[in-house]
Amino acid sequence: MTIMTNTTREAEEYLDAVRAELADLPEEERGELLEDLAQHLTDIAADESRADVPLKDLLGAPADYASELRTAAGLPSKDSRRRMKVPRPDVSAWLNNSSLGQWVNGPAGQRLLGPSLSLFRELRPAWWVLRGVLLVAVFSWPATGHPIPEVFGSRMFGLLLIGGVVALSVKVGRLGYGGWKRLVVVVDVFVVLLALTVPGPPTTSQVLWLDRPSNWDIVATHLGPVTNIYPYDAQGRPLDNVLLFDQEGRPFRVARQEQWPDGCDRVPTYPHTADGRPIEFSYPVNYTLDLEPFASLPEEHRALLEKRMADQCQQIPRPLVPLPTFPPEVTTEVEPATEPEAPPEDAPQTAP
Amino acid sequence: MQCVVATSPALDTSQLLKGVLDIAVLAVVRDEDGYGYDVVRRLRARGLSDVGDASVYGTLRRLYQSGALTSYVVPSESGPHRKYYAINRVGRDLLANSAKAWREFSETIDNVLAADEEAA
Repeated sequence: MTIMTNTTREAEEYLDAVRAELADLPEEERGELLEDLAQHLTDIAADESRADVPLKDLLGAPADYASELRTAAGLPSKDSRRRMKVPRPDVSAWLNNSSLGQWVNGPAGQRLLGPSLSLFRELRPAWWVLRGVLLVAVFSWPATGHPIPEVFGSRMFGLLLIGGVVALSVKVGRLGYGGWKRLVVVVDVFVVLLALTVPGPPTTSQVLWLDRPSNWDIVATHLGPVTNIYPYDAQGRPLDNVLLFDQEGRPFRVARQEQWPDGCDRVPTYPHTADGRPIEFSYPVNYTLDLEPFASLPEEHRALLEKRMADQCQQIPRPLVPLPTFPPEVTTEVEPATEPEAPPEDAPQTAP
Repeated sequence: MQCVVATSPALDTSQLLKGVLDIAVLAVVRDEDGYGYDVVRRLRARGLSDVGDASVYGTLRRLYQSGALTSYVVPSESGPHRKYYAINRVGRDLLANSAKAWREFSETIDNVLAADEEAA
């Protein structure tokens, strides 16, 4: 009984070893060869003259048996099969075989990284959505200053466009990239790089265009160029037509604002000297609607256009500023609250 | 045993046998159909003691696939079904031609050897 069991186990081991040696053959071919071998081993076990001799002595090593079988059957040798295959660099296999890959796949790596890896897998759909949004925003932002583009002049269509791109991105993600894996990876890298390098949001919704004379320094803060200065007096009253100079006695000059939230064109208007020259360092700078393009039109057309423009364009208010509480004035010759200085018609409104 | 013959430094008969194993296998199934191990034993019984089992099984398979042998399966009480091989017309023709070529070849070698012995 014991011998019988040993023989069977020996035969199975031999069969498995030969099967491994024939692994490169087509399934059907290998199956038939192994079927023959199984019968062969059974016949040997039943052959009393060979029953006690180990299979390896009788038939040679499994590798030799397989090699002899291939030669006699006219099948390609194992090595030639291997050589026929053009080796392709397998990056993921290389990564898995590297010491880092082995650590990551090993018990220590799995214990440490397992939770974050599964979290990463669960968060993939979030990336698919984000990728769709970014894919539109990285083009829209530099061009229009807004992450949602205006399609046919409407942000609603822009939102629809983003929705469509998000749906496509999710679809591609769920397909597991299909045959386009490389292209998708390139797009991913492109989107991430572009999103990281696109300049941050402007501090206001207005985009600034500077026309900067070379002999004047423009006042700027770390947030960007200064386009206006709003002075107040010691009682918190807004001041107009204040002339400002720096520590060297040079006049202050600010950047000119050329685009406005309401889309209207404005030009700065300055007080003039007695001989008619504009004082460009007078603050705050008053911007008035640019009516220059209408100057050449007939009177009735110009009036109509100017009226329409005045209706559409907003008054630019003074910015709200946190004014400190001032001590009451000692000499109250003028009541500041009851007699505010009337601003010019097109001047910024006074903040409360 | 067979290993002694195979490793003989004088003449490696196992190499010689590879070239003519087709004839030997066809010859032993010409008179009676046989299964793999049966063919191995018949070849050994006729003197080819160093023939490898794998070579015989491989040769049977190749001859079958090239159409020189037909095959049929017989249920076996000792394990899986036995695959029997039988010679057919193609196999008989192949055997006849191969046997003729072998005889001519061996005759030629004999003559070469005889001439060599006479000269010596």
